[in-house]
Amino acid sequence: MVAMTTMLSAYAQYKVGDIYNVGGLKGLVVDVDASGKHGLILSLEESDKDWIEDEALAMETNAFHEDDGMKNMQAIEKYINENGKSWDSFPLFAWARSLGEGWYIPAREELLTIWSNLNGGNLDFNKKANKLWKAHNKVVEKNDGDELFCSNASTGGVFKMLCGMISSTEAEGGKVYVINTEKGKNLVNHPMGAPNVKIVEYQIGKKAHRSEGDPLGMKRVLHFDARAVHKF
Amino acid sequence: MRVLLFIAISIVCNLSMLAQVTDVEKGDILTINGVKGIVFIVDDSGCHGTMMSIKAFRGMKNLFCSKASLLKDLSMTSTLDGKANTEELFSYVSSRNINLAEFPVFNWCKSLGDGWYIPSVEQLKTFVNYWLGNDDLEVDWGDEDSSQSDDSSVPHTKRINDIMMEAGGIPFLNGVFSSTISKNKKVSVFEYNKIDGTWGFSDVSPNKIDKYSVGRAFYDF
Repeated sequence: MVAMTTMLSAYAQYKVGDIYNVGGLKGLVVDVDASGKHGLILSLEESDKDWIEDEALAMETNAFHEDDGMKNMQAIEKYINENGKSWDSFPLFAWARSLGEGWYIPAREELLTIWSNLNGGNLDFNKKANKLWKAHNKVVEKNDGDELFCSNASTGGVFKMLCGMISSTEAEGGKVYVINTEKGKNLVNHPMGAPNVKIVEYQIGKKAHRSEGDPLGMKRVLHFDARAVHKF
Repeated sequence: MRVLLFIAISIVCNLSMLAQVTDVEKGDILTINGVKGIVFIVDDSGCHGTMMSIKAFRGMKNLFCSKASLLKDLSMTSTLDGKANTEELFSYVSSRNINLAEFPVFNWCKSLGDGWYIPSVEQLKTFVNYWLGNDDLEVDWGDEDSSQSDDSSVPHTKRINDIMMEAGGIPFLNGVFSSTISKNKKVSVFEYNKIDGTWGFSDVSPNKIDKYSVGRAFYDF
């Protein structure tokens, strides 16, 4: 039976939104090649770990790769080895490693591709995209994953919004690239329906999980956590 | 006579290159006493040119000098010669017994070894043009093997940044300051808008050069 399952999975073709579950490797398919046999999966589990443990080291690392998060993992590993640090100094990366070999925090461009694919092929978060995200979320939750949405603090948790994702790519000034919709405008279960907003990049501090420039702390607050990816 | 002249030129080039480099091309990574740089200017001999450090001087604040008043008696106004600006600063701190650490980026530059300098605004502009691909005019020879050509879908900026990262450096990002100081004691800083690709230089107060700018060093070989 196991052999048959393995054989079947070898011929399986995947599309974005499917669950990949082969040989202990499980995740949401977020990118596929033309054959449908290879691509990228997103971890069902979400992490609220910090990119860096000691912000004093924020300007020390060289994880600037924009198209391959694995290279950023390697850049962090190089820094650790050369400076007598441990993965504990980089909690988010340590978490990705704990998922098993091959898991890594996606780079900036990988996140853009993931969000574009989950959003239906573009970065316009509209009514149609809203439905897609809800469908993806249903699949994730059905497979015991952490939901793709989070509560919006400014509405007392009544309405939910997309939870942004943190990349492994450093930006200028010791910040990192993250992705979410335009500030405060992605209430996925608002009775007025989904507004037409853009999915955009932000840069936040390496220990931050909320968007900055928000003096009142009201509806413009965005939340960011991270998920890991794995090639298949 | 022409043959003799050619031999003479070759000897001069080879002699000067004995302890140096040959056949250098733009984009090559050279190592001088353990410090790596990316070549962006090279003469026809392939022996001489200029490179930029693949690593950058980064910090939270006061990267140029610890306090603006330290610039009071410095001119460093050359827009063309960063080496002259850098040497002026080295002479200034030496003659006045000022700790070079008061000028963090120059202190870093000194630590790279002899010959490294903080570029002037025009020298930095030369690198920016190379980085943007503005100085690589392609000639269509028709019968060239097209499989050898670079992938033009990849922006030149990314190709150069990838070379530096593969060599263990950090990419060229927006916010790089020069060694050129204006008469009102401001520093010329390169600024690049990643979204629309526009760029330029601004004069910034030294105490306002913060973590969003980095220092780079150049070396002539």
